[in-house]
Amino acid sequence: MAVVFGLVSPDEGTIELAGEAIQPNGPHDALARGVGMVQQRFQLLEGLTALENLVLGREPARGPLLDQQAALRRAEELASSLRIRMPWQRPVRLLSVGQRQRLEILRLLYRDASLLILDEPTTVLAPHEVEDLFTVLRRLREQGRTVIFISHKLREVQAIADRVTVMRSGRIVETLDARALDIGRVAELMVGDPRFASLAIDARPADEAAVGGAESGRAGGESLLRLEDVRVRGLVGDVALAGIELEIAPGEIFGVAGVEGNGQRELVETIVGLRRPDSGRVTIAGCNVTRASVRARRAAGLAFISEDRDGEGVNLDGSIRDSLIALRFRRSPLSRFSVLRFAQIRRFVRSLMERFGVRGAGESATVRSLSGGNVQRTVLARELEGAPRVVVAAHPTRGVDVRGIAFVHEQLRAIRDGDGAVLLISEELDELLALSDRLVVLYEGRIVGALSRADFGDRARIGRLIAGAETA
Amino acid sequence: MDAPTTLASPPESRGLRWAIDAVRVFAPFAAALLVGAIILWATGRNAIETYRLLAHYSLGDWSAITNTLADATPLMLTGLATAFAFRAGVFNVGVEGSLYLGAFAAAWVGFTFVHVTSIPLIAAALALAAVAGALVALIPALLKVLWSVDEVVTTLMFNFVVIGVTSYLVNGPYLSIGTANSMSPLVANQAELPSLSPPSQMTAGILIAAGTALAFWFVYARTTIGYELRTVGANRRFATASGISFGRAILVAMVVSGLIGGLAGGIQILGVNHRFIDHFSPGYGFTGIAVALLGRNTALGCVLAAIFFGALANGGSTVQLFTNIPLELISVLQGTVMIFAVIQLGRARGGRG
Amino acid sequence: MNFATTMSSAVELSTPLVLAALGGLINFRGGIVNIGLEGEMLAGAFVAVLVSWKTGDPWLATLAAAGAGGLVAVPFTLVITRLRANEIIVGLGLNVLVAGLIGYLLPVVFNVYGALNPENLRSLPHVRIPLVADVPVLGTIVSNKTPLTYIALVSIPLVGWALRRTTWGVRLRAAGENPEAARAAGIRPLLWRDVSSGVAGIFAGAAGAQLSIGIVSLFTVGMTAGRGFIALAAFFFGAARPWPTAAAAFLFGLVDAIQVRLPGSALPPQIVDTLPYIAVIVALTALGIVRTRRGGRAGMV
Repeated sequence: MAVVFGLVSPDEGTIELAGEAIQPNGPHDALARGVGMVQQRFQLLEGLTALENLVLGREPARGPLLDQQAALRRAEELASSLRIRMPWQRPVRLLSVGQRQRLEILRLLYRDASLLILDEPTTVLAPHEVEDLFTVLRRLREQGRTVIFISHKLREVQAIADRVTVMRSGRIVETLDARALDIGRVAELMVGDPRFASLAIDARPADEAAVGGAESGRAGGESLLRLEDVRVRGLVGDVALAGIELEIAPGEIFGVAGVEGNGQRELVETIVGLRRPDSGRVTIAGCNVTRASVRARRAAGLAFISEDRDGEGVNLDGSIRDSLIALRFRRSPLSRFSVLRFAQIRRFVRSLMERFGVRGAGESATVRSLSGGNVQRTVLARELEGAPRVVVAAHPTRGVDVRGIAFVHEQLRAIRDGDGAVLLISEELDELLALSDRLVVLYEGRIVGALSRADFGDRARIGRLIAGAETA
Repeated sequence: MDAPTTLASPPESRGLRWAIDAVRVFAPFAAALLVGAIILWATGRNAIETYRLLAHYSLGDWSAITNTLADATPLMLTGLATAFAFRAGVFNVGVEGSLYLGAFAAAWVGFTFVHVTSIPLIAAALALAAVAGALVALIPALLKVLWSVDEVVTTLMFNFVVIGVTSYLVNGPYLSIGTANSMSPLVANQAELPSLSPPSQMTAGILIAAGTALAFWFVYARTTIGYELRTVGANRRFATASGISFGRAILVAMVVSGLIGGLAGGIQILGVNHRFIDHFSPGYGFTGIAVALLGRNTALGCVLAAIFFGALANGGSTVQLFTNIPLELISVLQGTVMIFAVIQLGRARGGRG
Repeated sequence: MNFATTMSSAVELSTPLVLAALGGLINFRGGIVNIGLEGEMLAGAFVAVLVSWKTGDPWLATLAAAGAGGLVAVPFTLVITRLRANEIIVGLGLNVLVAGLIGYLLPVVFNVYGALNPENLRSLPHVRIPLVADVPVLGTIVSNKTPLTYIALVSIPLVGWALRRTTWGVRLRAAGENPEAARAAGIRPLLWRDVSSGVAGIFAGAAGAQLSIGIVSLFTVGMTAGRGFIALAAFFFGAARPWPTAAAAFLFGLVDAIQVRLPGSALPPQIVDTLPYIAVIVALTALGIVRTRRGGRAGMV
């Protein structure tokens, strides 16, 4: 959709709109051709009124003056065509999320968009607002416009769509008629990635993994990571995490499945210490770290593989050395009396780069000069070097080639085999199924399903959980 | 059995990057000289001859060099002070304020404790100067750590507050009676920093400045706190995720920055003015920003940039005596350097640009 | 201390502050914090005296001053928008550059040093408003000011109106707030930023004219005396809204007027001079406290 809206240029292929080939070179250009998109992050100007936002760029004017009346007339026209009420003179920063979204849609109508693309529009809406949105979408349809509704929530898709196309890993899998929608089938089509098909499902037999089921704690060993009733509110006051309870025991890879945007980032931040939950408790290896600093949690044995590799996982413009010593520089042997010891650091870095196979540049080169896979190896090297007890791995194989993926999996398994705990968050179901001892699904800030290895065969069910079509 | 040395980044991209860096460093100089030349030419002066004289009177003989170094001393320190903060990602433009309060503090010690012997007196004066400078920087630092108040505006405003306060002090309670201008009493004789090479005004201050540069380098290159500061300056999110405390880094960066700025003021008073004079600074703190930027926030860079600006100041004032080219031309060059030093950098905060 | 004459003086003294602050406000809404108001004001003050001297026409001189301010703003803004330079440093550098350039030109071209004080310099006339001038107290305060004062007064609602009711104002505000969203709506944000800077320069230049051929009748190199920064303080304090900004600027001008008349014991002048700056710091801190209370994330981790 980014391609259709002109945000990204395609490498190959053509786009045809109403029989005419187009290649928009930006959102403004796309809009000129009748294609509009409401992105997940709204493109509204908070300091301007709703009316000003609506007409910006194509203001009805009398000379230099903004023709308020003409603008208002047209605004009311559009709004009433969708039977929406909008407080036109109010600044956008005082509008609710639902109102802002409707304003975005009206903006597209003001530019005569015939094709409207909505990207995961219900993520930010409260349940009653979703129904309001659907009413608007139905009216758009009545007006003869086309709406592309991107969503991973099957219930909604079922409620609103005429046709459904399932995409997976950049390919169209199938197009179905929505009126006769078989949710189970769609869920099945959604999950899985041919890339991972070649990775053998872990050979450990189910009973050897000694899992006591999703609910109960493990028989041997206290839990290494524990969350109790963790609640987090998001930036717009929405619920990001709603009472998360989970417990990971030593020697376990705990997978969290789900489409991104359902609370994964907030979960990660709460565990790592980048965010304080509004309520609840986080415990690492028996220590209550709910209010503790990141540094204290690291000291308790926490490692963190961020999904934002370049922005958070490394210092891109610094040396590889700098990114490798970030967790150890304060302690002997890398430093003594607050002075860094270069010979020791060099030895440490060299052995680390060798052990984790970081190739392509010397320790003094910038991280930027490394390939994606090698950057991830750098991250793993730094985080896993000290045999951490709890590893939070968020989308660790994103943007990594096949060899790199195998390496990451190998490292995570090694942690587990050493009686560490791994919290693995991923959108790739095959990866989760291959690695996890237990699996939960995160949907709209809640854990909606808990599965043990015995349940892993029922992919259709997992798909339904991810798509919100079932609450286990 | 050693692992084979892995390749550094491929040679051609390294060469290209070196070339880009070189351009970045020299472009502000070139631009300044060009702008100066245009102005000279447009007003009927010979630019080449003027620049030749500038070079001669600033670096042409030992006397010129010592005077250049004397003029460079405060700039070196204010440059280092500013760079110390910039490199940690903290945009401290309040070094002028630290300078003023530090200067006043040193003067106060110098004219109050007149019976203390030389070395302890000077040491005490400079120490208090540094502390005073640190206090000036501490308030904006706390505001940033506690309530995320952007430090650029607060440090900028604070300069004027401190200048006003010291102006009041020297015009009121600490006014030296019987002198024409607003000045404090002279500091005790033994508190003066003697010239290292009379009659120039180069004092031990230049040695202190050089020592500060060395310490700056050492902290950033070789200590754990330096690693924290430059990591925060380069990528704050990475630093936070690695457990480095952002708040602590800000406080350290600002306090040290203020310390050095205060020291600069103290040295200037004890070495050159020998008393606190109202509005004595021709903008040492602000020029320090240009020094830091030109020097890419590094110790060596600040030293060299400070010498450059010192040469301009010294050469310019001598040229003014012997020709009819006013000293203000130097300000034109300085301003141009400041403007061009931040081009294409986007944000001048932290890091090596 | 006569109330009427003090207020009258305050009105006169705050005119350049109001003008410059309004300019800074426009620039700020357009997305740039203009630290260079000081330099633009100085340029305006210089050009005003120069042109009035050479042509004998103070009106032309005022226009030229505004033009000079705008001209100075052009490299200022282009370096920021096209070459992505840091606006604070560019502003500071600009002030140094302009002061240096003028300080250079005075001796080199005009054979004077430190000030330009031509004989028989035509300054701006003081306009007597009929009817109003005869009203006691109010007449003294309002009447008998230079035209720039009345222009400044009219500009306050005009600026607010222009920002709210013209297409230009809406586009300028959009460009200043969120250039990406503005670009998506088909507007050219960089252009509007440059326009806002140009307008700010024009206002600041006019403010300079009020200084050099309005309040007094000469040019000195230190004439602006930090007024550009006080104007900055004014619009920060006034939350970038025209009436509060003008009120803050007037307040600062009032303090200036009062302090000259005080016997000198109440508050020392140097301390009083720092009040605008302290006000800004306090205002920003209050804002920070409010924002932090409302926020949720871990803050300074």
